[in-house]
Amino acid sequence: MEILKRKEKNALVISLKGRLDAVTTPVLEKDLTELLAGGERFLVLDLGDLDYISSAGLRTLLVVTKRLREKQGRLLLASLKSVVREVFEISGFSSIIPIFESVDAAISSPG
Amino acid sequence: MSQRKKGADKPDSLYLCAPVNALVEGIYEEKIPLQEIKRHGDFGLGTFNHLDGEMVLLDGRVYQICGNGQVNRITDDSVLTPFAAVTFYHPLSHENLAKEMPYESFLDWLGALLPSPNIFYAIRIEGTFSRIRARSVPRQENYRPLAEVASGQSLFHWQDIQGTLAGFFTPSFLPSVSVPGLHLHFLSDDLGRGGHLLECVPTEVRVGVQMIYHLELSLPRSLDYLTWDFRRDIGADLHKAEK
Repeated sequence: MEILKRKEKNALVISLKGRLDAVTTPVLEKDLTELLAGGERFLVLDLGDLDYISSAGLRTLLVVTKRLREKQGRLLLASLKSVVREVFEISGFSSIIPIFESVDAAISSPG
Repeated sequence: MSQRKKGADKPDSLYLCAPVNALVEGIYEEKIPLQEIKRHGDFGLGTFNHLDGEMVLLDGRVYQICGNGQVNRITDDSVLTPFAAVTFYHPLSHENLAKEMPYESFLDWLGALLPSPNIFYAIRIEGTFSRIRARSVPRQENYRPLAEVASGQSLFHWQDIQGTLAGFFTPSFLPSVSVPGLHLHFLSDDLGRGGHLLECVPTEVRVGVQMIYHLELSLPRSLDYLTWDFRRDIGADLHKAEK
């Protein structure tokens, strides 16, 4: 999995490419943990190039969402492919982590 | 990716035909036919009346692993069970593990696949194991506590074996309802070996995980069940019997 980061307005946009599963999740979790420790509070995950997410990936996103909310921060998801969106819907996580059609829509959403 | 099939028209649910505490206390006789169990799922585990072996339900087929290790395919849906846990299996996602992993590490690895410890999961693990330790139990008379029965269980050890582990993860706060943590039964690919998993060392496996937010619990309509005093803490007995 590739992880690319860019700053847009007040958000840190993190683009994930490939598969988020038990193999790649530890890398993302370490990355996000360091970003939180560095003071980032508004993260937008651009999942437009994410092909697959497993339950292990959901676990990490749940943990990071919890940590961010404790610090009054936000984790938002954008541009999900239908196969990835389906996992969020079946798991019920679409009602926990806000999902947007585009990165722009996520960034401009009210906090 | 998730595969929707039979039972997908309603929310995924874990169906228990009785709470496990009845089994722990030694109520091994209920009038629950497999026909009723199959109405609620095509995947799961359990036992049979008189605790006559371990049950594995895979793809709608019921297998009995007897106390002597013999595996029988049960096609008679009038056969009775005092305890079964089933669901219609359609996993949310899969993971592959392609290296040998000691059991404790494997448990940690599996734990990292579960987003929250506070819901149920159906878990199906298929592949090759360098080692498996499992058990079954011989037919029992009613009212002999499960912990006592477990001391006389048959233990099986296999090496380099291919097969499927099927079962569930149950939250820790529901020990009177279902076995807390992981509860898995094994069936070999050749359908000749199986049992309640005690320990395994996977070498190459594919793991399917299904998140389950709903519990459907039936309470037996029997004299034994309705008149039993369940106030005893069965935690230690359950641990001894299952682990």
